[in-house]
Amino acid sequence: MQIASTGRHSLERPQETRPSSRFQDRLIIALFLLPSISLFLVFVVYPIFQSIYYSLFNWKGLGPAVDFIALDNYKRILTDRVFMLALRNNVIIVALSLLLQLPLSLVLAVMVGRDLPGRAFFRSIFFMPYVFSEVIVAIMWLLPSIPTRSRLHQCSSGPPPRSRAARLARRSKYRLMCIFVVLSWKYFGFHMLLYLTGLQNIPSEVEEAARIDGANRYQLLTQITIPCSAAPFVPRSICPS
Amino acid sequence: MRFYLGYGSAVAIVMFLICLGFSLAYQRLAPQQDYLGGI
Repeated sequence: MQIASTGRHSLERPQETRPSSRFQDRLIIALFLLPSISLFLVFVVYPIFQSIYYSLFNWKGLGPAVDFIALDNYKRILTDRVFMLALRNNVIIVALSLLLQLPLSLVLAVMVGRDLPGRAFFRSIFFMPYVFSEVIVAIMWLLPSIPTRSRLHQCSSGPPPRSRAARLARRSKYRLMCIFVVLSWKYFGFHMLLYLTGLQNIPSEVEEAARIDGANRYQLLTQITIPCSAAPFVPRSICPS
Repeated sequence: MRFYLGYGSAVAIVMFLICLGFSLAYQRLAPQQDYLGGI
């Protein structure tokens, strides 16, 4: 009887923890969080406030900051043509990444996610550019724009011939597109892998049920595959490249 | 060579504010879903 009443009591109302044990729990949580919070404060929060402080000075980087100019640096930003151009280029790259790079990654993820021969090989090939460092990628893509100096040409006196890609990249209106192509080439494998993770989490029963109901491949993709693998879409859309 | 670190700091702050604005807008506007809850 005693056992039964104790059991009913524990079901109806959870046991209240004592204040001392609650304090101990919070202390343990704080101790575990302390290293990461202290690193975050030192390497993230403090530099932000330091930057705010230095942005109010005309500081050349050497010696103490003494030339206080208030918000003049911020006024200068608004009229700085280079800053505005950089901002515009960034917006274009982000927009292009969302519109082209992520859909391409999704298509490739769907393709290599199927049970086809050689899919492991293609996964590795598509992911390989992401492993390279930015410097290696830059050098690789610079090669077409480097003048081709064959031994025969070194004997001649004329200017070295340039490839068509190099001529295209030298035109100002194509420069941004060239950078976007390189960025897409480097990062689409990584996005593909994230999409692939989402696709593999879709239960096969759902797809089978949709097939039995008469859904075709397009309907499977739009009604099952994309909505069910929505989780990686969100962070990928926030940081596309 | 002269470094305009004060101006650079101002640029960094402006870029940080742009990112912060986007993040806060996203958190406000995005539907609150439990993505880890599966389907």
